[in-house]
Amino acid sequence: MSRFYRQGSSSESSSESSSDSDVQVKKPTRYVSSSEDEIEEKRIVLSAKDKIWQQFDESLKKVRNALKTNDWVSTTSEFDNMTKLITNGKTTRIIEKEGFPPSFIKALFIIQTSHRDLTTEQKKKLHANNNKSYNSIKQKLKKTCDLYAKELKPYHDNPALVNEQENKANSDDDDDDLSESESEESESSDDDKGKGKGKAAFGKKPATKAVVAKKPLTKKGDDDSESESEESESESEELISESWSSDSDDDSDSDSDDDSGDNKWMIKDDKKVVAKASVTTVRKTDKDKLDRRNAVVSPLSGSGSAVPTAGEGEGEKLTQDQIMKKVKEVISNRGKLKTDPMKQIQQLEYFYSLIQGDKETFIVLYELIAAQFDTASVKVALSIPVWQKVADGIKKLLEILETNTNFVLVLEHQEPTISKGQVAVTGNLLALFEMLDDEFSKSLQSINYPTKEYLDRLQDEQIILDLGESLQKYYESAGNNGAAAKIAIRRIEHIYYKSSNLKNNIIPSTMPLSEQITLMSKLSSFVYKFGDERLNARTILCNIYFNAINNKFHEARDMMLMSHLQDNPTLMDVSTQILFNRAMVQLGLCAFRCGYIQEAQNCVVEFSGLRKDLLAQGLSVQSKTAEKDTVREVEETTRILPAHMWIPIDLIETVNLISGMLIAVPQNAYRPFDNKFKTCKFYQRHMDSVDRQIFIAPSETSKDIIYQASKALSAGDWQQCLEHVNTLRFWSLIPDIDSVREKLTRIVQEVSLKTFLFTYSTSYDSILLSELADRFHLPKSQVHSIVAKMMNNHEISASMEHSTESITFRAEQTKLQYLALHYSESLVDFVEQNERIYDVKFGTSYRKKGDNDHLPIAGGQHHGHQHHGHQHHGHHHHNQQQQQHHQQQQQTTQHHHHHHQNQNQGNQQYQNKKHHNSNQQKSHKKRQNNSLVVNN
Amino acid sequence: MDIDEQIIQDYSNSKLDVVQIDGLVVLKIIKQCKEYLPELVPGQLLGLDIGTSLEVSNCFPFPPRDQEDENSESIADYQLEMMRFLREVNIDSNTVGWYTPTYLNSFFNESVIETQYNYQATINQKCVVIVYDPIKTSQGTLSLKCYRLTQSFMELFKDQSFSRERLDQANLSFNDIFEQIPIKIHNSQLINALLYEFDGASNNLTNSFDRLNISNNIYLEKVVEGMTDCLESLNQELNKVYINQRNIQTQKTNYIQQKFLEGQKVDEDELASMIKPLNPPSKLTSLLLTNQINNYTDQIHSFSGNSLTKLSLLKDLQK
Repeated sequence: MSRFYRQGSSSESSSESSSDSDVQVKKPTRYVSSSEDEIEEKRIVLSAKDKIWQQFDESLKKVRNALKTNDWVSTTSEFDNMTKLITNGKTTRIIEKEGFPPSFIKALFIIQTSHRDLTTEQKKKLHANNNKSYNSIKQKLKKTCDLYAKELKPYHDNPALVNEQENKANSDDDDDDLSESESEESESSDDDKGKGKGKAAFGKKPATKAVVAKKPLTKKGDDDSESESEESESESEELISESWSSDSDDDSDSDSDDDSGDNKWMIKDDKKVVAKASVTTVRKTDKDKLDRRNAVVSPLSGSGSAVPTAGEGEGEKLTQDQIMKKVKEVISNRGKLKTDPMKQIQQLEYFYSLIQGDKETFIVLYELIAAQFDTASVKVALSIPVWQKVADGIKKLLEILETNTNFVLVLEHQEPTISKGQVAVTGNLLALFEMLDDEFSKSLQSINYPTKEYLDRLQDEQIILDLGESLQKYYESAGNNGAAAKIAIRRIEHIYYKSSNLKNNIIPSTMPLSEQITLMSKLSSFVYKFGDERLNARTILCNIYFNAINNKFHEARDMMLMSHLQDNPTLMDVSTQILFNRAMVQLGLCAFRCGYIQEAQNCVVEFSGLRKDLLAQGLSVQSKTAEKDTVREVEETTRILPAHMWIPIDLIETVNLISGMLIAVPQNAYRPFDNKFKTCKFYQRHMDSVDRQIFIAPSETSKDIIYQASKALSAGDWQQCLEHVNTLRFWSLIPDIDSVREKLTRIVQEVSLKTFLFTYSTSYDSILLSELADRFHLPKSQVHSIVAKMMNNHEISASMEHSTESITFRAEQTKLQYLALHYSESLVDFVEQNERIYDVKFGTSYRKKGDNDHLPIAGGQHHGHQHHGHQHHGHHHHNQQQQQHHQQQQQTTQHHHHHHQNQNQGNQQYQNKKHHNSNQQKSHKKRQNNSLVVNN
Repeated sequence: MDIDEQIIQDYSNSKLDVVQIDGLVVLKIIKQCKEYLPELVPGQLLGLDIGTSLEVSNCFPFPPRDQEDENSESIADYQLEMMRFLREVNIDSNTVGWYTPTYLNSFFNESVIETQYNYQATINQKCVVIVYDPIKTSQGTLSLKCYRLTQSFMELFKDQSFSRERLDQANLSFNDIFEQIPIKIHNSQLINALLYEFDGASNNLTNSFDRLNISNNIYLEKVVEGMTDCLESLNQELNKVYINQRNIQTQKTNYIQQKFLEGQKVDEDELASMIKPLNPPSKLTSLLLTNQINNYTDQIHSFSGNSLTKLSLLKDLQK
């Protein structure tokens, strides 16, 4: 809807305007422009100053366009134009009065900066002609810039000033040319357009200023008009929206449509103006009207003062619907490329200060908040003051909703179902709240922990909690329980990790534990009732976490098991998975505190080492060779939790290692040579890596200390082990140290007893229970139970002498015996494997004949017996196997007759067998050998 | 006879009866191994081949591999550099093989064979590998063994084809991969004279109570462990063979069934041509494993012989 498009070049219009008259009225003329076939109207009222200023604005526009395409020729000419103009006698007079035109200074500044910023590469690309101009302007620039150094200074100090104004101009322009594509706009040297822009920019700027200056006045006027205007509000509101929709349609349509659109406009505006005129005081439209439509229309309708001048603009006042229109205009620009969110916020804030009426306030405020959120990006959080403003804004929105019970909150694309007397307001407070919450954690991410700043920021959490509470109440009362549940889960997520119990949390819980528990259970039950599956899962996890940090291991564990979340954690979304991991870790830590070592180990085993990403406490480690995955990195960065929620990695690792030690040491003592029992991977890896070192450095890290402790423990020196463990740093992170230590001491004693029995039982014939009790500072009854249990599980071969209260040990299997058995088992496998190949090769039927005497499985069974049997038995068995092989060889030769080609295979196998037999002999010999050693 | 002719004749003659090592070289090998423990660092042997014997007069170790990614080029460079230096100071710089320390003679693997093959194929067919076992040596018996790839195996390895048929054709068993060559330790007369003097001077030097060590469990455990590992690997190899066999069998039955359904007679020739070999697993691995196990059993054999003697001695002493 371009109503200010003009025909002709700038010089033309300037000559016209500068003729002599201060005020110029041009009658609306209708014509078909050659380029765009658009019907345009024109009406210009300008003062001499404005006239010249406008010229400068146009030049500025041109310069901008020229510079965008590096067109130095036109830049130079424009520059010359301006310098000529400014030294013109008439202009100087005006300048003396009014100061330098800002556009001129701006143009200067732009030329200067782009001239300076032109890279050599770009320079090379310039045409010869272009290049010449570029060089010539260099000289001129220097001179001119020196002259206006003072005026240029503010721009140098703040280059954004230039763009700010420009954006404003552009945003207006966009209104006019919605259908124009960006590219077209940027490269267009179209005169009409350029002027349109220039004019728009020109008109806009002083207007805002003027209005701001007259704020109190307008306010007063509004007060007068409020009651009446409200009545007509809804009507005009509809009109506006209608006309706006037609607006946008028109833009993309052909000229004929445009025509009708224009007409429509006029009619409606007519109505409006009439309505307004009847209600409000006489409205003086500024020459640079805030709403140009009104200006266009007013002369036609005959109302309003026809020829306002610049000086008279002070009496200007805005009505509600005007503001609303303006707001819509601003909003429609939201998210566009050239729109500066800061500027939008300023505008909206201004409108907000003007606006009256609850519904309008709501709308404007809602948009204002939305615009304020625009200032944040994926990586950069909202600045704290803005955040606080947003929080206040949301609170106010809520207040409005609460005071006006007839307001119904509707989502944007939702068909409002409103009963009588209710007013629908569009908006999504839930989304705003969630964004506010997200921005809060984002800003915490960017602040270093633990600094004063961080703590200060953390205090703002209360705002969220309060807001959440009232918002939830509102939604509940509005019957929207789903949304209320979403808010409830947000609240839970702000509460669940807090505990006065935890020392690592530098922010003690603000509320007493009992209160926290009731709040948690209240919120949780609400979510369980109304939330969807995901929310339920999250709530359960939060509750598990909460129970775990409050040392309620069994409750937490039962919840974990009942929820069946661990069945398929990969089905959850990432943030829930992280929550799951956190809950799991906390459960493990809780188990450790309660003395359930095995459980603790199971829970935390996966979360040690460099897997910080699992808990969203750091980025995942990427191998140096792999290519950097930036997307993934950004994702992980955004996921990272605020530092005050972290579970200390050291703590996890230490707990993992200690529990690993307490489990693995007796296992290793029991079966040092069997890898099957090495279950605690993380611990084992650590131990192995230290073991591999040739020199073991003095213990510094907690890992080293645990290594030392393990060594002490495996040697049966539980006191030494405890000493080591007690020097660990992680104790400072554990609440209720004394009871945990007590539990741990008891466990270490027991484990040490077991380890001792495993390791040294072969060195004893018998041992007194009381001695064991003394050695490990355990009550005799407990020693008795532990030993009995071990014997029962066949972990040690011993028997209890009740009369003397002692244990008698029997000889155990040595490692060599174990290995020999293992070897023989492998041999059986080998033989069976061979049989299978035979089966495949010749079919099972061939072998069956011979198998009547010697089933191959029989050999295996024999092996089984051998475990308990005597050496002689083994010997016998050995012979049997030999016979069996012999038999098979015979078979092989038989087969040869049938299948000539298989003979070689047979030979090969025969060789294998032969050698295998010799192995048997060897191992048997070795076994005999061994028995000799034992005897000796 | 002309000396050149003699050299050429020696070079082309692959027969090798004995390897004569300087006592100094033996000591050097032992020292170098000890220095780099627990890493096993191989080295180069230098010397001359004369007639059917090989004289090893010097050696130097390769740089220990610090990083895993160290390429073989830098080792080769080092080797050449070292040889140049040695030539400059007039020491024998003729490569006659290499040595490698190993535990429990567990050296029958493909990389060793490949290296040895390269030596024998490119430098001199009389090149040998000397295997030194620091564990056994620490128990009181110097364990130094000299090996060379057999001629028939060299031919097989050249083609890299270890199908069953080829092995059968070559009539190659696991014993025929390496041939062991007797070692003769040779000292210069001066050293002999010195030793002779020592011999007279004190008896302390000849004490070797290490040999009387009867704690043989650890050694046996290690060997049995190694043997078990080998056996398990061999099992895996067998499994591969089994799977391969089964595939062939399925093909066969499918074919026969098809023919049967079509009512045609099964043609043996066609059957044979129908069956695709499906990349039969290389026999080399199982061959080597077998050889390794054989080696282990030999070790147990000799070890238990000694142990038995010691134990019976002990028994008598205790009476």
